[in-house]
Amino acid sequence: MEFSLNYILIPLIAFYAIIPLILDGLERKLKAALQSRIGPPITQTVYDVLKLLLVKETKNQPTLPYVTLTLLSSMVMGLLALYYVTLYIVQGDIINMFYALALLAVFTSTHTVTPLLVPNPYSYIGGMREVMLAVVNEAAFITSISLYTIILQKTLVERVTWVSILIMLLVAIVAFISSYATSSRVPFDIAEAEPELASGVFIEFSGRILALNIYNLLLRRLAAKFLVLAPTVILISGHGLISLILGLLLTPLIWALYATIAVVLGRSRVDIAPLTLAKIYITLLLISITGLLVITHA
Amino acid sequence: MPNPEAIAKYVELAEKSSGVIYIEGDTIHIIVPASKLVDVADIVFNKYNCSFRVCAGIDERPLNGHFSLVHLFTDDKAGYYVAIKTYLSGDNPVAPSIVSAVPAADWCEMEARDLVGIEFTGRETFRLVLPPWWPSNLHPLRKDVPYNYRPEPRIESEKISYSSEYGVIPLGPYHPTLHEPEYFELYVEGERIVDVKYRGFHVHRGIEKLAESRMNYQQINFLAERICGICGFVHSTCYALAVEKAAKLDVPERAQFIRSIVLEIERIHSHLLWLGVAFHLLGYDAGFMHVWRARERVMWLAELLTGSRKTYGINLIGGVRRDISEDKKQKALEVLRELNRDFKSLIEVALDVPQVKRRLTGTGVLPREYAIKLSVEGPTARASGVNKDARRDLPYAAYKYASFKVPVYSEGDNLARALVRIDETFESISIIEQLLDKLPGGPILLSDFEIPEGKVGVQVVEAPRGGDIHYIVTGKGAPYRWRVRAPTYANIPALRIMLRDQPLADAPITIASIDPCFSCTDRVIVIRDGRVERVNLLR
Repeated sequence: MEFSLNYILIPLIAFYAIIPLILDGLERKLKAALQSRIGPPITQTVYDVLKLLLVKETKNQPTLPYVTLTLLSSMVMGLLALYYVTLYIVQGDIINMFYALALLAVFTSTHTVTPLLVPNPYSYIGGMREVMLAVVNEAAFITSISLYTIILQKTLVERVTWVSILIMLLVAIVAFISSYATSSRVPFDIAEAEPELASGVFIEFSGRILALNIYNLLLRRLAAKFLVLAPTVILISGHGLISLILGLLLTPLIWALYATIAVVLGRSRVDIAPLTLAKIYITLLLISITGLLVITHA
Repeated sequence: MPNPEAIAKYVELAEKSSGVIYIEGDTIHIIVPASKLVDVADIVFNKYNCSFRVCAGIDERPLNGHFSLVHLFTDDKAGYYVAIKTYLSGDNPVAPSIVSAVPAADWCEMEARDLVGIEFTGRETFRLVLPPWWPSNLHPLRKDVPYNYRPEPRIESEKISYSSEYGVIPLGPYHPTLHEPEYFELYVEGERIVDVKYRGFHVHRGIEKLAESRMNYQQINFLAERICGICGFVHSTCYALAVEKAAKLDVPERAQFIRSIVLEIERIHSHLLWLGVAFHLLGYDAGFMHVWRARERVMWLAELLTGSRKTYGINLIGGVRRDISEDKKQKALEVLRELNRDFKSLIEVALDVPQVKRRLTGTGVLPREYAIKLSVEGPTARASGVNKDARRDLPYAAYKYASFKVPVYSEGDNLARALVRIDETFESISIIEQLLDKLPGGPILLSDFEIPEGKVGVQVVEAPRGGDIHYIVTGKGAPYRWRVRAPTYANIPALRIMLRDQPLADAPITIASIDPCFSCTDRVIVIRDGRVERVNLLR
């Protein structure tokens, strides 16, 4: 009997809505442990966001309604992306994965432009840095996930070869790197860059807008991870509810892995990070695409 | 040890410039007419390669009817202080500026203009220390101005200088990078810094006037320690040594050892604090946290030996007021061994982080010629190949009993400045171990002494940030003139060179690389109706 997601749609969306806050709390606790600190409780991010939601903005920017609208629509798209990727994992229709990718791309773009709506030099610089990073990273993210999904679907119906496994491994590496870069963690937190930009993209946000902004960032981190995990769990256990559960269980582990990477690295620079990423992506993707063309026409 | 060869050249210089020379201990005093001042300063700085430290304007009208101006140099190779003094008119004090020959004298001349009212010829003048609203004819360090006189403050706004050619990024006065208030105006083209303007000194605390007017010699030790929250002991030691030098006091050796030990504890604390901040600025917070965890041991050590984690308060004229017992000595040695091991392992990891290495290497370069021209101090100088350290060149306290290396790098970048501090941390641990081992017996404080009037004492103490200098003219029960110059004062002008053509992202670490220690109050920036304004906080 095929399982219908309709039965758990609302609890699932609610789960996706809450889990980024808990995972961020976990990240903060983990980072604290790695840095010889006690750190805040795991629920601290929930408290932070709830408190901010109850606080009025300190400054009434003329562009505030547009910022709010952009952030709210981003949030909806982020949750929808997670919903479609769930459909893909459970039901196996590849089109759902592409819906999810498209929604995540729009989510990232809208979230990226919000700092550019605020008249502040630090906000502009932070916003432009985010755009520069996104120009390189989002293309690689979408390409790598698409390739990962396509090759996966091929391996599910055709004979698995060492070449196809190697290509899948290469695109999976690109997908994981780009999902890490999308998460705006060190060394890719150049848009926030607290020391030089005084929190950059966040500088003019306060109260509910800041809460929404922080929430969207965490939601983006979850969505980016889940999109990379989707083909991986399908590779392990095929389409179905088991894969979804596996994906949900692996998410905190990947989150913790990303948090650990962030602890051991320092911040990059706007003239270094996009260039380094571009070099890695172009090399790995060119090899992958060439390989894919070879095995398709062989 | 007297150096007849070095002395001979200063005697010759004094004779050639129609001046008077006298030598007291390690200080060569040359009194020259104002007309010869620039030539003499030029020879001392550019020919004899002395370091310029500071200048001090003095109101000597109650003593002899004149103002005077003293330029303080140090001949680091020969181990002498060189004080070039000139007397100026009591009615209209005008001195020739030496900036053309000694660029490092820029700020101290303007400070003498603000606070003592000495005018300078041959240079552009501007207000440096006093706020813009301060009456132009009121010079607080003149003896006829009461210490508690305060003109009625006014609130004044000052617009940031807009540039049509470049973007203006305000950095400060309240900014996450800057742990004290200061203000940098960065002119940027894209994300590259084209030029920098610095504004500081907006609220002068007036401690020199306070000390000269309201305190006695021993009280000033505690005031001096409060000049800085990080290297306060350097200031109190420097002050005490300057007074002791002026009064020719023979301070017990054990006290000198304790001073050196505590000075090195303060240096380790300061360097670890700086490293933590630097790692934070580079986004490497794990390094920040672990270095500060190691720093905690140093604060514990300071508490063990002085009773305080910071602001130790043990210095007095004539010695110290807290001894080190055998039990404390053993505990201290144990803590130092642990610290050495811990610091070594964590710094190896931190310097291997790719982003840390890449962002420190080749950024914020200060070429050697600028370091010399601006007479920068401490790790900033040593990272640019200037081999000077007052602990070795102008020995004081108990440093002559310790063997240590002075780390010098030639690259002049942020990495070199970090490496100097890292090497110095290990050297400081070694110095403390050596001094604890050799700690002599005997008293720790002179019980009976007098400080004669009209004597001069000048002392440089190598603070974690560079040479700290205190200049004293003794008076009755309190200094007649007390001039303090912290090392950051000499290092800030170099930031303009270091920041030019750097990425904006590296501005915070470059500013931090001089380990700046600014005044504790400044102006604020407000953005009103989309326009940036600076406003004085006058309360």
